[in-house]
Amino acid sequence: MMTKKQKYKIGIDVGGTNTDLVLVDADGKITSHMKTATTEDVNTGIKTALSHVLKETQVGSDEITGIFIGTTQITNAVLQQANLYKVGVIRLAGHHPTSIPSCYGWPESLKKSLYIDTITVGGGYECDGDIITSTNHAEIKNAIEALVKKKAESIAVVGVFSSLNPNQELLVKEIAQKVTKGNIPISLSHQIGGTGFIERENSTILNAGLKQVMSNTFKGLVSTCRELGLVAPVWVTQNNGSIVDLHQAIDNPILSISAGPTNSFIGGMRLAKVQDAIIIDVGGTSTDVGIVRNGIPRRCLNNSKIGGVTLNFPMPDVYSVGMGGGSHVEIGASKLIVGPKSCGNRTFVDSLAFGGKQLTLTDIAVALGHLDIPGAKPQNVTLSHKGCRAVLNESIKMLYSLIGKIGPEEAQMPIVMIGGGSSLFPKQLLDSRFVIPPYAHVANAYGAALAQICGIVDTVVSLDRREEVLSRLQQQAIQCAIQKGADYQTVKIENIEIIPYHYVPNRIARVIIHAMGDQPKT
Amino acid sequence: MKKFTLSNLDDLAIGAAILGSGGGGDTAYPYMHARTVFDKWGPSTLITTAELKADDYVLTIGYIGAPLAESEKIFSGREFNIIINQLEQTVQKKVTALLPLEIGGGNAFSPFVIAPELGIPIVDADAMGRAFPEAQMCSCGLLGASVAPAFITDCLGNSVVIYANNTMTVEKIGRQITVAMGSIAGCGLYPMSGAQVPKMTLDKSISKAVALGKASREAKEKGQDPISAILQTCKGMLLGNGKITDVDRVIRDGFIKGSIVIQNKSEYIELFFQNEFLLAKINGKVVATTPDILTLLEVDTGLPITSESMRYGLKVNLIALPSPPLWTTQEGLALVGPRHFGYEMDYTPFHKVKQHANAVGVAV
Repeated sequence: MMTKKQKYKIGIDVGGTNTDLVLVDADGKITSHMKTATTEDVNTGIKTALSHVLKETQVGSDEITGIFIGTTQITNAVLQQANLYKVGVIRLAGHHPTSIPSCYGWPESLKKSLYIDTITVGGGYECDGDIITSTNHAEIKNAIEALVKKKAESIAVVGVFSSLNPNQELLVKEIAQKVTKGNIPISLSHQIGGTGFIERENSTILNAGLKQVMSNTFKGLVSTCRELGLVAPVWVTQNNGSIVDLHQAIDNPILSISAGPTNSFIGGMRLAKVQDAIIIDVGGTSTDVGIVRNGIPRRCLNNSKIGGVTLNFPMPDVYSVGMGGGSHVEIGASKLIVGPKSCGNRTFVDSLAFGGKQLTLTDIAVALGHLDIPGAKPQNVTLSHKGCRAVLNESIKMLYSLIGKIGPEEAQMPIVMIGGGSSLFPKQLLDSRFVIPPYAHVANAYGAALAQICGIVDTVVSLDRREEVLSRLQQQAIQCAIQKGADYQTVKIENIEIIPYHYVPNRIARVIIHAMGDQPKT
Repeated sequence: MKKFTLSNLDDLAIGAAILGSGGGGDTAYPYMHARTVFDKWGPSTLITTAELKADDYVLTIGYIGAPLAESEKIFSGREFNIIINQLEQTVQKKVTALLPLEIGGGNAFSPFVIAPELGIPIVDADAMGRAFPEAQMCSCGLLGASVAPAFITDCLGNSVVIYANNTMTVEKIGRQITVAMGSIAGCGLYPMSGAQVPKMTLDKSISKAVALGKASREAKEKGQDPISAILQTCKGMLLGNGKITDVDRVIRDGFIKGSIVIQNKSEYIELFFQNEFLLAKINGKVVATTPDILTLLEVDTGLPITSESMRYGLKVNLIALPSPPLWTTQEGLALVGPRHFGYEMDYTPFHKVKQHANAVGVAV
């Protein structure tokens, strides 16, 4: 019997195959965890995991202080082109560009599944902050009505240089909400990406299309929590490893699109108790590698791509190879091939060791005795011991070549291996830099539970006294994070973005600063 | 005369970026623009300078301004229609062919976004043979063609015509006008007769760029090394390779200036740039300078990298391609040699230095 109330957090990772859940105590220790299949409606799987853990640990629902969820549902929706809203686009661009139309170069099927039309209206800014042409209230109203008539379910607004000045986009939103009586969601490009009109438009259109997926994913969640007596707030983790409430997450789903890798990198680092590391997440189908420095996953500097669409908002720098526990193993006369084909969520059905017909990497680990899975029959795997060793060596070679892509710093950094497939590789076959921390298989749920609190300052200032101004704004961002509840001892500046207005006096620039800190200990 | 197809356009995107030497503006948007034009109007026609008739009237066109501005205020798609219309009205002559001012970078695509619509051919030539930061660094100016009348038109159709004595003055006035136009505009200059073009321009620039892109693509399709294919196509040389371990970059006077360090086990490679890559040192020794074309190719993809997109940790090959001969003359070097960019040294042809280095066993 419990005598004293404890404080716990719940971290949840809703993956394409599994829903993982961890219960984390006030000291950051995992006290219970659960892995269950992700269900079609998402919510049932979460409910199963939540009830199981609450029941098993006898932790009172009032002892839970927060529920933190990361999900790959949004990426999967783009890849599968499922449940997307039809999007109408408004371009604020007084010069009416026809050089590059919306969705140019997208995979045709993705475009078809979410894009309706683009209407260009007066507006947009020059790089020095002047307007290209002025906006016209009636023109904007007509454009929105026309898009609604064409059955747009969601509207994306993208203005030239809105990253310098968001006012015109905000005006469109105001008008749109009046016209549609608030019934159609509006996505504004300045909230989503930086400079690069086409990539920001791409990101905003995807964001607009994904709103339904995000709200569906979390539709039943609040009532599920209530049923279980959980009153703690629900938070959703974002690409940068910080949290937003459900409402904001549904507003800008694209900002959570790569929360999966971010959470696993942060979770892996914290499980291994390091601040700088190469993190390898071995899954069922693919293996991701990323790098964490000073506790922050390194960002991708080049434009990233999802589902064949080029985007331009910050995402973690991830290199992937199609190798994981479910990877098909094919043995030819002169060479053997591991992946990229995979049994995915049917690995424990279709693999030889489970009575299936496909030789997989899981079979190899089972046959070599590295993996002991209930129900697996090593004798089903007929490949010789030597053959199995060759396959394993080939996979390890793939691991190392993936690590080699990360950068010149790999020589010193520890390599933390996590994910459901991390046990495929016995530690004795890897070099001494490899660490496989306890709970490695639920690292991403743990990462979600540890997601940080972010304070943002976004303003236009003169950088004539650059050092002084930047340091004042950094302090503001830190204060903002602390006010939102971050532990003041852990808050640090995560990113400074400076977008200069060109050819204007006083070095005017838009400055966006993110400060991030841990959630409070209790 | 031959058809210039969508697949030529794909190869041009790679080739123009290689000849861009890190600068010349990103090819991404101009390439997409050209594709939309091809989709609508069909392919272009490419003619050689020899196929021009003496009374042809040929205009050199390109983009002028800051890449940042172009990345937001994408082209209206009508800039060159306006320029050509106004030139034709001014001189009472029809423009019968176009050529790009600069084959390096995004400018290579400028004639391709308009020629199919007008139904006129593109001359297989350009005025730089690579990328350079300023309009006066062009063959037409160096060889004495008249730049006037020069037109600058912005995305709203505002247009200015400059009658100046030389390109340097057009550059000076034009820069100010371009700033007032929101820092990006289309330009048309050096209207020439068909008889002049072969003497004033660099021949076969477009087909050379396409050949580079094609070599790279075909090598990849065959599972071969795209970099050696590129080097074979243009008598280039691999100067060194390694990982980028330092990037020092500032934006000053409208240019991106700075240096990067590339390292491997035995070599410390420094690459200096002002939009374009201008000077390379290996272990402290100068191995190549402008006007030879220095280009970084990403090891994984074999694709060229612009000076804006270099980043720490990227694995790269540094290659050098020979400069068009025009730029290594005394007059050419005065305009685009190392001293012009503030490096106190003479032009050093890379093939001499590197061979010498190999011979004495240094810096291989």
